[in-house]
Amino acid sequence: TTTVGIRVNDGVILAADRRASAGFFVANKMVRKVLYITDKIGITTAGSVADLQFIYDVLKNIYHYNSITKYGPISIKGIATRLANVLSATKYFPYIVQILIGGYDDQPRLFNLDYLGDITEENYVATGSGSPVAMGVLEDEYNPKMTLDEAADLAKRAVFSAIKRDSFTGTGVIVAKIHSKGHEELEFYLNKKM
Amino acid sequence: MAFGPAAMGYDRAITIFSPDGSLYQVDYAFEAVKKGWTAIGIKSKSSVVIASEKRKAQSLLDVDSIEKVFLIDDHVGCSFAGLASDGRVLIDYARNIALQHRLIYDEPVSIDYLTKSVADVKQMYTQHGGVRPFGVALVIAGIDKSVPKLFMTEPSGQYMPYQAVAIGQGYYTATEFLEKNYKEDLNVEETILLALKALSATLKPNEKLTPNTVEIGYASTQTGLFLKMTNEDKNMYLQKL
Repeated sequence: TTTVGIRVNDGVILAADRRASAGFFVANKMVRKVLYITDKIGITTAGSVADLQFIYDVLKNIYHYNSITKYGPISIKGIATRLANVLSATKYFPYIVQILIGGYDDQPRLFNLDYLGDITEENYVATGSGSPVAMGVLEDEYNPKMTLDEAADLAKRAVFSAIKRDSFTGTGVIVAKIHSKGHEELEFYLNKKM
Repeated sequence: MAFGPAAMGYDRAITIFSPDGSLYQVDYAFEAVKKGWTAIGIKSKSSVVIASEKRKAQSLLDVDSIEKVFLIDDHVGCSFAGLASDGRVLIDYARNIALQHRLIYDEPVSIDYLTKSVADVKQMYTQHGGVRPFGVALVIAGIDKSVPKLFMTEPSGQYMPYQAVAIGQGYYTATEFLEKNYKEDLNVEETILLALKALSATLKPNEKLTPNTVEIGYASTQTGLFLKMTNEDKNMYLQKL
């Protein structure tokens, strides 16, 4: 897996490839690793698929529970911190996940969470087996002043580099552009016919 | 056999509906509130203020060491009227809720949620067996993302938002005063003075507020912090009355 998150002034980019691997076997060629909690909060997932599916359900549950019981939706920092606490509490029987939470509440936010409960806020970040490859591209080209479309293109190129050089990353990439009005999604594939 | 098995069901649970639909124990708990020292909460566009009186009920009572306005978190404060021991327990509970929220979400708790949490505990003590209701009303005031909030919780577990509210001995007089004189468009200083005037209105003709017999807590939208006023500051405001 390779996933990428980029924060710029007018929004956040979340991108991820579409390959699911089981050892050296390509288990699925069209997996979705960019998921949405709301139209303005997304996550990218890397790690155990079972754990990720469960954590995604937990996140949606936390979000909706908070919307109903606490007189308004939870912030992105709030839900990220809440999930980090869940991961920290299960440290000795961990969910094998690395998750990016990104989106727009009253400003663009991007958080990186790992399975031990670590939480960091980032401007640009890559996760998964292809992250060293993707990170090289981001490190070279990221600039906080870039537009959302420029950031989307950078994310696409970062994931594509990983598709070419990491055998656990493949097929193509989904790029989500999240901004103050919602999100748009772009898809790119290495080969025309899948 | 006045206390035979047949009567036990009715004796055990102390909060049972009367035929006209009221819960006597809860109503009596409210009577305990009405005996308490007066506490007033006021919300304006600029701030929230809590003013609370302290009375020298016994001549040897060390009034200066009694606390009547409590900090719950950086942005929330609270006062109560009624059984002080019950109030103390609920304030500790509220502080824990606020701290827990910061731990779990890394964000300050909303005043609505905090108030609801406390009111939920009060509600439970009106429905479970072997317990009695809390004999206190709480005034909870704070700033929520730059918006002033003010709530009052009753022994029943009911809570409501208020523009201005008074509880305790002087609640009737103070409420009457506030209904006449409340304005939303006040600055911090005017809000504090309105609270002190409302509190003064509850006193007997020969009584007067002094820095030792009133406690003031306030939070402005500017700072978002709930602060307790020093004696020097109290003096300054009392002189303007």
